[in-house]
Amino acid sequence: MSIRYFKRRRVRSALLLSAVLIIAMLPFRWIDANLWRTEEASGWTLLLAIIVLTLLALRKRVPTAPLGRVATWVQVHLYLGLGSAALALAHVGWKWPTGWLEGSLYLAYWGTFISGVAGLYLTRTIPKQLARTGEQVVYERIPRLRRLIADESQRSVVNAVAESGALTLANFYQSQLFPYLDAPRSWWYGLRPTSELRRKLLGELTSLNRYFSAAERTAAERLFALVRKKDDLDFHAAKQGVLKGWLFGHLCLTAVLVLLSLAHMVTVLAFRGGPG
Amino acid sequence: MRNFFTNAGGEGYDRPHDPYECGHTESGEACRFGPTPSGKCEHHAECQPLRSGVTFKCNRPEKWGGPCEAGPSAEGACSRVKHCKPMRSLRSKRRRLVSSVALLLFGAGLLLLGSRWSREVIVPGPLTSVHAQILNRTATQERCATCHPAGNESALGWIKTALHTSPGPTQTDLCVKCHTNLTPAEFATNPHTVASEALPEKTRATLAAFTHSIGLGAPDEVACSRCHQEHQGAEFDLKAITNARCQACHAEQFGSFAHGHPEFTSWPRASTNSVAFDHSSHADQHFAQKQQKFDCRSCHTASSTGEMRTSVGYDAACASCHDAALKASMTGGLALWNAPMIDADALRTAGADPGRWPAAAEGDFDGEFPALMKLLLAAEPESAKAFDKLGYDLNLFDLDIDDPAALRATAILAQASTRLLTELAGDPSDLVRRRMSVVLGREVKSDEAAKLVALLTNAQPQAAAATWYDGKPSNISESATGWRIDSAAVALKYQPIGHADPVLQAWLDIVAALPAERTSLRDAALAELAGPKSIGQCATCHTQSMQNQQFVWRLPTPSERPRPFTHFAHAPHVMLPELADCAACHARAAVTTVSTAQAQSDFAPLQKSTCVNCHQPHAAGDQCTQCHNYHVGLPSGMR
Amino acid sequence: MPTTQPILTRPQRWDEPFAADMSDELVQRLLGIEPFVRMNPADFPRSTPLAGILRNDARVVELRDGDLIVREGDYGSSAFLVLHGRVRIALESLAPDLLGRESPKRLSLWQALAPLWRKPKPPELRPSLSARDANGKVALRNEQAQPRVFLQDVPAVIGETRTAQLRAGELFGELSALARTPRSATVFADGAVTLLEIRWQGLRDLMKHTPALQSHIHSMYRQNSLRVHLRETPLLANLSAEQLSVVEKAVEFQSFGSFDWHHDLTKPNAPDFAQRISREPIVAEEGELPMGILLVRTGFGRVTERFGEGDRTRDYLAKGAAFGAAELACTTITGAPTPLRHTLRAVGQLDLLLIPALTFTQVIAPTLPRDDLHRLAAEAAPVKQSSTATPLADRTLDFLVDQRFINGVEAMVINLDRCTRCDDCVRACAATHDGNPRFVRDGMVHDQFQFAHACMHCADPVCLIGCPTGAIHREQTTGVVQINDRTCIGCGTCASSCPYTNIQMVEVRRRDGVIAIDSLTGQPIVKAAKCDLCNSHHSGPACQQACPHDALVRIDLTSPTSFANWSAR
Repeated sequence: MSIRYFKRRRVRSALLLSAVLIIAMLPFRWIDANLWRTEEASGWTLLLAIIVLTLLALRKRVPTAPLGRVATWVQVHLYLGLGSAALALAHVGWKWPTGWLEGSLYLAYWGTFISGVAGLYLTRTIPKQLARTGEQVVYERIPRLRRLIADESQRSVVNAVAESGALTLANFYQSQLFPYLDAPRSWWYGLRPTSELRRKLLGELTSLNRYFSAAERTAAERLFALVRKKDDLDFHAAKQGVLKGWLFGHLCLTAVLVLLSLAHMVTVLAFRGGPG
Repeated sequence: MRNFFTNAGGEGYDRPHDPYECGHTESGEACRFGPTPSGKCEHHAECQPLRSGVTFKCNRPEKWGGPCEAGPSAEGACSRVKHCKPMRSLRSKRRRLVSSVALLLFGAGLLLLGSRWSREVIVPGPLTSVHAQILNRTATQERCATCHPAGNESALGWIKTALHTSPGPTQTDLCVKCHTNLTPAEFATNPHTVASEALPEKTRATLAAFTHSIGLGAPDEVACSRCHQEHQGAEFDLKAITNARCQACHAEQFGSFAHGHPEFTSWPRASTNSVAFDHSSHADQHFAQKQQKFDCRSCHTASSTGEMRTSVGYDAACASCHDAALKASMTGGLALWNAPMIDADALRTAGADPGRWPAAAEGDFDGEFPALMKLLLAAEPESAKAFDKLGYDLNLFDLDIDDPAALRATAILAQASTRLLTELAGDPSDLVRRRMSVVLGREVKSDEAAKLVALLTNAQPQAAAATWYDGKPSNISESATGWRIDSAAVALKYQPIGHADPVLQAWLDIVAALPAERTSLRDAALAELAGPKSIGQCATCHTQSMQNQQFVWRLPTPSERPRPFTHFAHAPHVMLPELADCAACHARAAVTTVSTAQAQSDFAPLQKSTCVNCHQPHAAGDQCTQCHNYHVGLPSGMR
Repeated sequence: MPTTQPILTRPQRWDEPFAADMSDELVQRLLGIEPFVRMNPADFPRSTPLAGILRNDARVVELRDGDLIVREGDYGSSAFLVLHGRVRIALESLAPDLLGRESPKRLSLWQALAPLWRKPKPPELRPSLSARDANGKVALRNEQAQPRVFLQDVPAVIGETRTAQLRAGELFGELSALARTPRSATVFADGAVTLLEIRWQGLRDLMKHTPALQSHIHSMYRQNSLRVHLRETPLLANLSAEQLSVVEKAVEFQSFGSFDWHHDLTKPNAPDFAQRISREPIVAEEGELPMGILLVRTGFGRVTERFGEGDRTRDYLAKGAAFGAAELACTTITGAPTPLRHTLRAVGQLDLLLIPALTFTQVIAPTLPRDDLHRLAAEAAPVKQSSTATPLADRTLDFLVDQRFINGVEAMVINLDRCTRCDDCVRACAATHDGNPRFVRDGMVHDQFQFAHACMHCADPVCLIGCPTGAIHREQTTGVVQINDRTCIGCGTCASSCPYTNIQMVEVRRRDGVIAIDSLTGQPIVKAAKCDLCNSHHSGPACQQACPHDALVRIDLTSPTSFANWSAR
């Protein structure tokens, strides 16, 4: 069987990136030998790379412009982003810049780079985790669905109470289940979702089963399912939230990077020792 | 339960792109209408109740849940109207955050640039300690402007400067302002800081093509910043340069010192400003004859810096053999005034009156005017004319007594000689000053003149004149000043004190400095003073410099030498045991040919391979700048 | 008489007659005119008598001058018989604006960049709501809850276009009603006209039991498109013109299943999938000897194999595909009869062309290159039991057929393993459609693939059937199913017909952003909205263009190949 498309594309792109980097770095020797400064060449290249990387945001806003698929842009973005690290190292050298402006620019660059790499990891791992849950959820609908679960659970409990008059389930529901079903999880869960609370609640519900009336048992079955649904919902809220929140950070760092790059460009051009 | 969420989703299209969402979204009870694009809640009712008779009936669309339980009010107002405070959608929040971060940074940047830290903000790194200590005296806000033309501009000005170069001084101009010893300043941005004519023709052509290709107007615009980059830290080597950059303009390109660098054809080269010393004859003949060991290190000792001295000096190196001969050559003394033998009667008979003439010097024509006297006499035009007739190398013995013109000229010289002595008896120092000024064609200073006459007073010339012309016996014959009257020879003489006699040196310098129109005078003087048998034998070793014909009295100290293109430090080399023996590198040339065009060393040229043994990239290094200077020709105080 | 029939054997469709107002007298009168007078009621079975068909599967339609009856390119499920008056059939294509259609305008690059500076708008804004007849050439007649679109200037149309007249007793529209193919011409009323509209179920019964009608319809098909179909069949590529004519003459027509397949999907108490398979009519059964090669003319066929207690799907066939060729090739080579490996079932309506086995062995097989024939035969070899026709898993094939996604030509499939839920597809869709998304990023999930609620521009566009104004139509050149917003009256027929709920009825808003309310009913004015495949843009579907992670695709599911290739990436 032939190698899968994405794997093949990864190998091809990595090879292409290496080739482009090598070809891009070759003239540096020539530039140095011709009394130009390699920092100038790598600086302009890096600035161009940053502009191309930033243009992805603009490309996304004009989906039908005949500029190639966004997926292609993202591929270019990924590999150019990775390659820009080599350019940055070529530009600055194996050291940390000493000036305030240059230091913060370098910090912003590596911040953006690392956030990008983190994003690459997240966007490649989280979708699979999300796909494993029973149902797929649109992020914006989560509050409404949470409400739906809470209402549905309440209805089953109320019905059970009306039918049997027993309050065992109702009390447990009131004190433990409802707060879980009705509210979103803490931000801590967002960073590291676990099924601990779900297992605890389901365990307690199971252990209470022997005290339930027949009607309560039916309702408890329903609650079992709803707790699971809520757990899926929380998982989606958390993981999709991470994916969306990551972009906040990456974009903010990008804004800082672009501004500082421009400031750096202006000062360098104004303070270089003349074109000669 | 499998499709619990999916079935609940059928409420039309999701609108994640809208800037605002209903304020009830978080609680899961968002209204169907949503806020306006500008984020206003317009309190829409879910239905338009229908009038049926006097009452109203709920008319909520089936899709929205059908008629509601509560139903409309008696006035027909829908009871299902939601109010909320719309909130921004996730995407809109993100856009706001990003733009606020950008604005904040922009604002903070402007604020910092307006503050007194504006220069600290943009300085890219510390200066080298050399520059830093100079700038430390300047106020922080003005430091940039010391070197950068844009230093005093505002942020807006920087943008302007960044876009196009501003008129006014360039950064290089500001460099040269302090680095004045890049002489001459007009060549400061020239390649190798020399006049472009000084470069080889081929290199000049390559250079012109090269500078044109990299967008420079002219080859003489190599800004300092092209090689010297500051703000790289206190310890940064501003002068570091790669080999490739060195070759940027060179017509002849090569890979490395080991491969491609030309062979040395004349290195080491004898200095044109050196004291003549024939290593070969000394080693093979003189030392051998005396059965002495010819040890290089006995003359080329190590200085305090470890560098080889070129010589240890006459007293230590030469005197033991040469002093006796040198002193012997001086016994005759240096005549300032000497009367040759003149047949005064013969002259008078021929109608040429020599005036008064010392009786002791009367007889058959014989003898010469001494060199110093020729110099002094040449100051008088008629004497000069007489010499022109007779020749400066005149010996009266050879005078053609049948030539009336020659006799007339001799008479003129005799009269001039008498006049000279008379005037010497006045103020000898001033007389020499005046006369030498005429001969050299330049104003001779009185201290210069004083050196020439040393401690000669008018007493000795007076006494001499009195003795020789008037026959009055003199009591001054020998004095401590070195001047004496040699009555036998009818001469006023100076007795040199030995090696490095200042009077002899001063007169030789005068002779060497004679202008071109007095070549015959100079030749005659040199024949007397600089010949191998002349007094003091000075010129045997102190040859005249090829460049300016000046006598080289002593070897130049390193700081006096012009900065050479190639430099070599012995110290680090001779530390190696195998190089401790000078002969390891310096083999004496088999044949010494004396060339007048170029001073030639009596050593064979070094082989490049000798150097290549160690000078490889990962061993002793093969940087161009290890041996070559870029800035050539400036005094080495600037190194 | 229908009343004498036992209720149990009565066709289910008669539970809901085509028109409630068909009276017995009317039926009797109809039986007395052409062509029914020539039909023999005795030829009809007791369960579907001729009178019953007329009573339940037909209705009388009265039209006025200029009313459009069928539009070229429309999909319809009924045929028309002219009872009184005249109709005109346009022999040339009429301009789209005459039919109340809008041809999509391609947007310029400048317009493609517009989202950069465009301000957000309220949802579903329709600044000019009243423009139902905006282009002035067609108008809408809204009478007796039967809205009709009519040509305003009939003489002009007749003057400019070549037309032919159809008079009383003539039938039209039967071919596309039976074969579910687009109408080949536009027909409009020339003066007042009375028509009998017969829905396809009745038409098929009439045809089945009236040899004259059957041969008329088949000969029309033979005339119009049989040769084209055969020419496009790869198996027959090497045949000479004479050989093709032999095959053409030998071809038999077969028809299975029902056009109403989509109702099964949307019904809340739809039978489960195992039952559904058993309900699908069997065309040819596993283990039997093939009658010949079956070519799919229209509709879909499911290829199954017995497995345990049920049948599992191994492949599915759409227009152009052939069934039984491998077995026949095997027979040709070995001489021994080879039974069918698989069962072919009709998913919904399946129209087939049968090339008899003898024709294959005598005419077609000799033209096939030896290697091809052997390769074909190897597929049918009984040892290769486990070989699948496609690299898709059986359960995936089951899923695609069961959920009828095989109908999708431009189905939106999202690979959830790659999708980061960034909603860029939705945003792109909205940016392309004036700020309104045209699909829902949600839908059925199979393995890691989500089949989103976006119009699939189906091979069998059931949504087109029943649109009173023809607002929803298929663009002829591109096959894109699109809705003309100006002529959409918001009846919701298409939305409820779509078995995939890919059409949404949206409440439209006035210029000021307030939801428009019908002054008569007090109900919001709605319009059908769905994906138009961004046919006004050069770039193709914006959703696919915008997906940053190669997760979303618009893909043809009518054959398993493209999906198999895509999902194996």
